[in-house]
Amino acid sequence: MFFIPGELIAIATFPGVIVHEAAHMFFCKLRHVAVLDVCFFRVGNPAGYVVHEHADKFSTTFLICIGPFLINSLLCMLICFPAFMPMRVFGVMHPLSYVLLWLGVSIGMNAFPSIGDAHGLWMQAKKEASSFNLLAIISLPLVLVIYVANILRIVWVDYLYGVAIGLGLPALIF
Amino acid sequence: MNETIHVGTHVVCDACCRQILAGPNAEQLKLEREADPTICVNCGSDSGSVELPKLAGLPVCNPCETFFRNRPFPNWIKLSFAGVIALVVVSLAWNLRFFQAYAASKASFVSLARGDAEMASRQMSSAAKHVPESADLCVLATYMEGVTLLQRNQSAEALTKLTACGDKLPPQFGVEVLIADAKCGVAFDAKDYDGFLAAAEAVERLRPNDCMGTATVASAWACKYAQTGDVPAQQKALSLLEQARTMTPGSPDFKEYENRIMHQLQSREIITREEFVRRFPKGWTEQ
Repeated sequence: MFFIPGELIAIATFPGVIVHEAAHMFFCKLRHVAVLDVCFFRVGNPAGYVVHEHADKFSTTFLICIGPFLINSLLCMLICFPAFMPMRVFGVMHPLSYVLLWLGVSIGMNAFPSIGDAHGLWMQAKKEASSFNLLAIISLPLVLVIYVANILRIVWVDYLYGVAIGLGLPALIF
Repeated sequence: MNETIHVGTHVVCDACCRQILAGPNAEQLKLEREADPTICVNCGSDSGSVELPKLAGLPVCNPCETFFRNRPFPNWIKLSFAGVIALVVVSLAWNLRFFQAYAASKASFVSLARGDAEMASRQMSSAAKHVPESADLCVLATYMEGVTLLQRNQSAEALTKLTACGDKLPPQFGVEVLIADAKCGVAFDAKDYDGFLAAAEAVERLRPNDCMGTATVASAWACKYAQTGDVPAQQKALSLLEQARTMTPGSPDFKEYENRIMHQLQSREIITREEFVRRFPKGWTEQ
């Protein structure tokens, strides 16, 4: 394992950052939540952000927070899939496959909700769980998983997730 | 007023706020942007004495609120997304041959397991044609062709194909046994019964507990007896047949093979399997 500054990783995987923020915005629009500001990508910390109004319904907050995880994971699988068959099954390498793998894994790597997303979800889940909101109760351990996943980014768990989703899942099927 | 920020108990400008936040205990301070309730924080339009509706706690005019609630995706995002989808579709089309080859190779193994070697060979050849750069597929196609040729009793051609597979396939494909089978066929076709015996003994060594392996050796001895009339060869064939009979009782393949060998021993006539089936479609019975 070796340390690479987050900004360099963000630059190398910029499509994932863009998709992550676009997914946040998509779910805001889907649930009619006002988007006050949006940055799809920049060289800095955070590499992208969406500033939106507070959502009253917990399900909306949950969707806005977790939505990018679903969208990024799905796109990662979809993009890696055409490259999987020639590379993993037949061992045939092609530049197009490398492009697809870079794009897919970049997007998969940025699937995890950020610490900021987890914090927002945690605050609202705590409040809603006390009134026995089932989704909020389920969200509490999920937020812990998000925190742990973010900490484990230091050992490239986000990259491993991208590879597992992009190449590991099809390997289970084929 | 929209330019000021409430930091703790003080109301300060943007620059002073940054200075305070850079100082000690900054994280404990509560920040709140001061906003004139009659001026839109986004476009700055003044509604006179009428207070504007609030969005996220800040005054926003109606057009700006509509914009925030329906903020469109930038065109470059839409185009990029369309580009990615197009790339996936083009890649799928570009790599379609790999999917076709995969499906054909899977179908080929299913056909082979069903015992349909002809179909298996056709399907594997089709898979190899889809991905000619895959050495593994080419070897498998050659292997399947070899198996098919062997089933058609074209032993010499089968031997060439199977030998070409060599050690490129794992042991479970049984290439060595098939090569030995093909060698038996080649020697039999050439009426080289000593060669047939040697090859049959190799088959038996490779299939130590298989009645068909032992029966092949019995067949070779039967051929030698048919050719020379040598009684020890006949005794050897009968003894090996007896031995094989105890290995897999009731095997239909063995019964058919045994019937042919018995005919050979009785008639001292060496005929091919096809000829035997043509003459005795219901099997041969001793007169």
